[in-house]
Amino acid sequence: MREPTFLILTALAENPMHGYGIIREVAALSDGRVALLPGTMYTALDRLAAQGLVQRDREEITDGRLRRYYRLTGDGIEVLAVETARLRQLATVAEARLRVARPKVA
Amino acid sequence: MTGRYRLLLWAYPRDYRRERGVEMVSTLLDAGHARPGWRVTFNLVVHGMRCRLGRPASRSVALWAVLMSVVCGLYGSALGARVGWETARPLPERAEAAAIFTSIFPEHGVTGEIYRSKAMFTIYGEPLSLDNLDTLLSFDGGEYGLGDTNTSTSLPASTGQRAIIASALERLPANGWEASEPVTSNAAECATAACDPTTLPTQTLLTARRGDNILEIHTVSDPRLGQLRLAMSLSRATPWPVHPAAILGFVIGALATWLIFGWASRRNEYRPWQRSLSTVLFGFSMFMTAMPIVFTVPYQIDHHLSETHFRWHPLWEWLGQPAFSLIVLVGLGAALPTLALALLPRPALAQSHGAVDRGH
Repeated sequence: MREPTFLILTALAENPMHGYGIIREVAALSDGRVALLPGTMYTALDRLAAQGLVQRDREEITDGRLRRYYRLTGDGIEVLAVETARLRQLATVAEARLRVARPKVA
Repeated sequence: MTGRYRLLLWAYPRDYRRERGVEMVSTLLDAGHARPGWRVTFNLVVHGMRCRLGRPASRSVALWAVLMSVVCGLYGSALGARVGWETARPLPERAEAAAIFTSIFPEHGVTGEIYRSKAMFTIYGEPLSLDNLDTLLSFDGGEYGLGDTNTSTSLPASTGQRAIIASALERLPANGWEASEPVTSNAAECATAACDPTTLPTQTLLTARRGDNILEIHTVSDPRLGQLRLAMSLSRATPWPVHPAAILGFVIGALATWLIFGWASRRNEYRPWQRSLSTVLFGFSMFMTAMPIVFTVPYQIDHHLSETHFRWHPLWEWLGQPAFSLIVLVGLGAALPTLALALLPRPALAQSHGAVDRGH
């Protein structure tokens, strides 16, 4: 799974969000490294929806602007959990190796 | 402000714009993109064109669309190049050609008949027209060629190929011609092991350009016959409108293919058997249309690198045309049933399917 996809799923894990909310949340989660453009985000949402990981939640009109909210599906939560476990396992292995490597360098 | 975004959203299919347009513009404005900068513009156009293919979870659909668009863009480009060739001046008249030939070889003069092709492009000496369409579509299409005004003459072998080429190389620049390096090769190959290669006839090709004239001087020397043949031909250089016309043809061909491919892909998205049948037909069509290009381009590159070309072979020859025109026609014909399948009414589910499924 690519990083932007992982970040979008993570952004939606807590609460349903609208398009701009997702863009903002992804930037915050990645410390500003990942700046999604709207075209990219909607393509990713379409793909995730086609894979059954995301679905539409509700619509609101705020300040005359349409905000459509999206949320994770059950499959989306499951896929995010699996991917998180995979990344955690990789990070654990990498950290263990780094602990061995750093004293040698020092 | 929103008008510019709405304009950019034309990159997306109509159904999608209806479903998502207002929401996307709201998101763009929320994100602080008051005006669409080049990054946002490029991003929307690229993703809009991807969206036109439907099947958002598929990566292969984009790959096939790119390949088919490039292939059809190249054929569109060749068509544009052919239209651009219509701006070329008519072939040199016999009197003009005689004056040019004499200026290069005043000592030999023009002793033979001067022939002038009936058209800029001919097949078996006849202009390309509907009358010889059957010849063109048969595998005789390779007999087509660029027309010229030419003559040839026989000289005593004692004249010597080298002497002829040397005098031409001296006079061409003096008459305002830019000459290439002459290329010498055997004019025949040994048929048996007993053959002595040094006794084979040899040929030399010298090409020159002046304005929109291309001059080819071709000598063939056969030591066994004690004869030297000198042939000269004048043809037209590629007229400049060919290049912009070819680029325009590529853009139109590629864009039209992308839009048609995307339309058919979206229409068949939720119809399993139409989709499977379309995939098979498309695969066949892709193979038939791309095969002549894959087969011909390496040969053309090798050919162009082996000798100087003041006029590159026309683009359609790089695509194997018209030699393989029947194959391409069959390939394009195979795409028609795919489009016919896409015309069938869509199931209600597909028609009501939004960009992202509505919540349960």
